[in-house]
Amino acid sequence: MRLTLLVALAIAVALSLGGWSARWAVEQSADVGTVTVGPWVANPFAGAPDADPYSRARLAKVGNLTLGIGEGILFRAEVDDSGRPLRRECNYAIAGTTPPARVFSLVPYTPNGALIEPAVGRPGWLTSNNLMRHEDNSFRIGIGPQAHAGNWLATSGHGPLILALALYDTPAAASSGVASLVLPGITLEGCSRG
Amino acid sequence: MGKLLLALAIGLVGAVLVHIAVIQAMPQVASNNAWERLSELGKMYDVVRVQPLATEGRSAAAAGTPLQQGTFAFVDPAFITASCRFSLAKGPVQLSAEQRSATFWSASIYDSQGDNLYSINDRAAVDDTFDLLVGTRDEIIDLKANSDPQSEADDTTIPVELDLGEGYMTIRALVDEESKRPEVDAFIRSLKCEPVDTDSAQATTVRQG
Repeated sequence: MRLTLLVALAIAVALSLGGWSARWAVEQSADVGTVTVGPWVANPFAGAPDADPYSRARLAKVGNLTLGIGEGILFRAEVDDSGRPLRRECNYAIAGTTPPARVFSLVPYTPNGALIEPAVGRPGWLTSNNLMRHEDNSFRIGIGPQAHAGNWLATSGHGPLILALALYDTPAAASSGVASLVLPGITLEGCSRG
Repeated sequence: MGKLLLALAIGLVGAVLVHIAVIQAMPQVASNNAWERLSELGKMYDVVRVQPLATEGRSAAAAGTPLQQGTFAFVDPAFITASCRFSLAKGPVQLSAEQRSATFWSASIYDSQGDNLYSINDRAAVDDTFDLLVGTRDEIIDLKANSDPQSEADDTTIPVELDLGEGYMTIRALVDEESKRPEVDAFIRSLKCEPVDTDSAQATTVRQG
């Protein structure tokens, strides 16, 4: 009888602790396999057959469509250059250059990956093909609910904001040198109240 | 007391094993992965559109149903994205578009667990045409052996050897200006995702010759 109880205890500990820790690890392992460049974070191995098991498990759970390794690389930013979380009601400036790419797009999302759509007629996303650039090929993009001169990416509403910078057909996607890339910086320019 | 500690220790070791097993099994058994969600959208070989998940705002109708059909998180709205599922069990599959796209496009092939196995874009394709013949090594060899060598001169088909049973393809075509949307839309609408019937493939090559 005592042996049965002990065996049951061992099995209960194994199943509950193992199951819980697996679930916890998948939820907390968002940083595993990622590369950070300033405020930008990418997971170059997402969707690759040789990705680490935690990334694969997380991908299977979320069910996202990943960008193929040869297609490009997706950087996401949740914070600005000084580490403050990005907010939908604030104005930001993104300035600098990107690594060489056929096309890149800059899109605002909510944390669960939904598109932030501004009012009709406002630019809800930008692509590199219609950016205004400085003479040295760098650019400056104003982001926020208030209109900017030059390049403007409109946001709306309140709450956290995730900026996604997707580089398509770029040598940067070859994962070897991702960490040494130079990406544009994100600086806060003030928040609107109300 | 000693036995209780032993049982706990065995339980801990077991927990490690369960942890590893769960993590490794997740891609196989997950019911919410991309494959399952695409299969809710259409049948095998159907070309389906993938829409970005929308928030409140312009499309207020979407509120309340955060996971309506066809929407995926972090889909790039600057692109029209389409996808289709296929199986190589009964033979190779032709993934092609009749029209050419004026803009950048990029396609990827994944297995049913979401592992990316192959990618191509318009620059890499022959003549900017999206025309892939996906099959296992044996299927590709069989088809080549049966096809007419003369018709290969103006052939844009790229054979893709992949060792998989079931998989899905995604293709993204850039809409960098709204005025190009109808054209890009027509490109995506001309997409075909169909199994190659080895006999009829022979018949068509005879007709062409």
